[in-house]
Amino acid sequence: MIAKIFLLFGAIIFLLAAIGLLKFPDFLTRMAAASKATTLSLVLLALGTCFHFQSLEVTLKLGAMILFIFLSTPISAHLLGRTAFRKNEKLKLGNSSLFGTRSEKPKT
Amino acid sequence: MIHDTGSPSWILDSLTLGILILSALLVMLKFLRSHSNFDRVLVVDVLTTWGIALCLVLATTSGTSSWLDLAILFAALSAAATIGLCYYLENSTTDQPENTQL
Repeated sequence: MIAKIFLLFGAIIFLLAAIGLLKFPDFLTRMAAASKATTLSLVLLALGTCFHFQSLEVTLKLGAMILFIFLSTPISAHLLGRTAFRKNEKLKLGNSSLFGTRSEKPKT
Repeated sequence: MIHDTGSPSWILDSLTLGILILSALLVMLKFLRSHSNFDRVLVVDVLTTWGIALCLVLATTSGTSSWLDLAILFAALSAAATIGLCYYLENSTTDQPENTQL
């Protein structure tokens, strides 16, 4: 039963990621919602699957899958974010940068 | 998949699958409504993750661990696609004049 609850929470977080992807106003916030929430969702789903099967073979397979996901999702999100930033994708939520306007260099 | 239709496990399985399918529909709607290539790349990335999530849920609901092999294959393809994306972006992106601080 606990496996099913983990799976349900994973699916709900995936739904939240999809809503964020649809509703957030600019690309960088959409990217944050999609990358973080889907990673957490997959971890919850993998935990649920692990609890369901309770075997070493399945656990190793899920570990390999999580390793691939942890390698690929942050890298692709970082690259897309950096490229969007360089292409002057505009932020629409409040102040556009932690350091003031984006054309200024951060004070060190 | 044979279920006892009165058990809560069957309800939870159906709810999980339904929520996942609704998520995919919302993400595809974003793909159709968006005019930005960045958004489309992001949607494809999310849909790859959705495929892995669907494989995990199907493995659990059917009790067949061979769905996990397909999930690993999707994860490996996602990693390979990320390497291709790195190569493409690093070789094709030029800075706009306003912003070069990264």
